[in-house]
Amino acid sequence: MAFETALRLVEVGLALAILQRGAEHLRHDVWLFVPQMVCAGMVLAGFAVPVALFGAWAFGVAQLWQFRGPYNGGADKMLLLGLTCATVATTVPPAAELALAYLAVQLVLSYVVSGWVKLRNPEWRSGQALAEVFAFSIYPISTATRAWASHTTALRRASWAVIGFEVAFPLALVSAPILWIALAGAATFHLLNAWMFGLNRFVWAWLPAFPALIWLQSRLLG
Amino acid sequence: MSEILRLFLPVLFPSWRFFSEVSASPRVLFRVGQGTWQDATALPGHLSVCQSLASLLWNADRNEVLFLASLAERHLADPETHGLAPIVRRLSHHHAVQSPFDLRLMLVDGTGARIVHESHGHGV
Repeated sequence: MAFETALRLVEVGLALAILQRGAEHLRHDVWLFVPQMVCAGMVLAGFAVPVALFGAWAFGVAQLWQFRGPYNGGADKMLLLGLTCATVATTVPPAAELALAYLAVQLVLSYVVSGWVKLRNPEWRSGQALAEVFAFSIYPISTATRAWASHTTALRRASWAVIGFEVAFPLALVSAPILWIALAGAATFHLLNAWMFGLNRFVWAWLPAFPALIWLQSRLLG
Repeated sequence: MSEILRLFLPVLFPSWRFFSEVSASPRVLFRVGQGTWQDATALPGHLSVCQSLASLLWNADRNEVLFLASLAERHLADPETHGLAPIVRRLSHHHAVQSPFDLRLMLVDGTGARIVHESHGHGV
């Protein structure tokens, strides 16, 4: 994938993520999110993209300040990281490839580090951690979903599936077709998390980084 | 400036240590007058397939609950730095809780639920 194509896809993905996220804040915190949505609209329209990205980034930092951290945890962190890299890529041409590469590397690390942490934890290896997430954490999307906590065998297998996918993710970089399959798996993983735990913003925040990794893989391995 | 940097550096250099452990989960409850305690972080009973699909596009109420829980976690981890004011403010303005109200924070884990904070007369 050409660099310009990857960057444009990253920009479009980030803009869509901002619009989806901003829509959830239209009842409150309007002054923080509507201007950022305007910037996202400009990015989608291809109008003054570097300025629009910088504006979206600035409002993202303002949101960090307002909420004294990310409002939605890792999803907001990833979105702001993507905005930072895209802004640098469009406003500092000598650092453009480095910025997009950094986003791609962080995407890989988001899976590998998360998987490694789980692999080292006996509660994750046994499936107990996932059972506890369903049983008493705040994350299940409904009380009906808590019933999954009793399916210990399925949860142990699911835990190992997640651990295996996350830890092995870097191996997907060996070839473009394998990377596409791995990214399809990653998108499925995020969709499942959205379905079971209501973590919809993670889907919108992670997918924009995928083109950056596809470009980096082709850049490094031809 | 240093505060913004403190908030932004974890974005630039993320740790990605999701769910390194499953610790006790916070709940935020409120009570108006002599009424019953209500859980502002309660889960809905059941979602239909359509509701689940729609939540991919718009999930404001759920994300607000997650944020409320994260505010409670911050307060319980460091009460001096993270006071109750943000929780009180969101209950008053975002959840339309009538003032004055009582506030209770609970932690839930495999052994059950326990009250870790209770205070009165908020939102006035």
